[in-house]
Amino acid sequence: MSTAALTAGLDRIPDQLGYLVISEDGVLASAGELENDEHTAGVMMQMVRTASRFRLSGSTDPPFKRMSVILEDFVYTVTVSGQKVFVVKRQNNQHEPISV
Amino acid sequence: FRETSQFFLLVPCFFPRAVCLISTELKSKDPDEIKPLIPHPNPVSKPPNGTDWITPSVPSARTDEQALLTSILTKTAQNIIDVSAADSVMMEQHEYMDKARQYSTKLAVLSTSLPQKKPLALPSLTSQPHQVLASDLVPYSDVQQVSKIAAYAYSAISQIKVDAKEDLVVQFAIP
Repeated sequence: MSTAALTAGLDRIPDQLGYLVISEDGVLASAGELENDEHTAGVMMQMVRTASRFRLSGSTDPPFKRMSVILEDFVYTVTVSGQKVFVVKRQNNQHEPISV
Repeated sequence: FRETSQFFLLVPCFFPRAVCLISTELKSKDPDEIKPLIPHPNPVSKPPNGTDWITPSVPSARTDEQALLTSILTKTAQNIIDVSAADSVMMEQHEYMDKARQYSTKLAVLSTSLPQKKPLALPSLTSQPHQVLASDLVPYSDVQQVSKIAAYAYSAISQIKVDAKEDLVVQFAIP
């Protein structure tokens, strides 16, 4: 799969602020607020590698499809597909519900 | 939980057979490795079937109290291995060197034959990365609930305390 094909869909994700596509060798593609952000790439790789080792009892597969790192104003959504790690930084529109 | 450990307890005096007992837990097939470092001085005088020491002929109290006492002392002396009597129990220099060399070689072989640790390949989580990443974010109520559970867990764990009852390291009570 070409880099263009990999990143095409990521551009269109709602309220995305930037993305990274990472392989074992390094960053394959980056854009927006994550452009050239090797530091965030490294941190996300470590986190998803650790999370991928969790297993629920009696299961051989990792028990999740997507990892979300939730911060005040934004969320990093991370997944792994075909030996590549995808990271998308999205606006966090989930806040304390306002009671009127 | 219990781990098989490799240690020799050289316990002097009253428990000469303890050296043999502990070495058999090492599960070694090599007889040289489990041979006790301090051999029993009088193997023939081992009691049959693990029974207590009983003199075959019990001397009559009237005439042989002294002899009885002497025989008790003799048997006790036979059962004691005095580790401090260096001359009689030490291995010969060449035996010691041989054993040391044997263990070094074995260690070297084992350390080189250990398999190299390979970094784990990342398992694929999905075949539809774009769809997964574009899906709705985690609802705020879920995040709140998980945060509360984590806070409770943290509080519980921080209350775990060790209740020290006795000393872990004690002296052997050898008179």
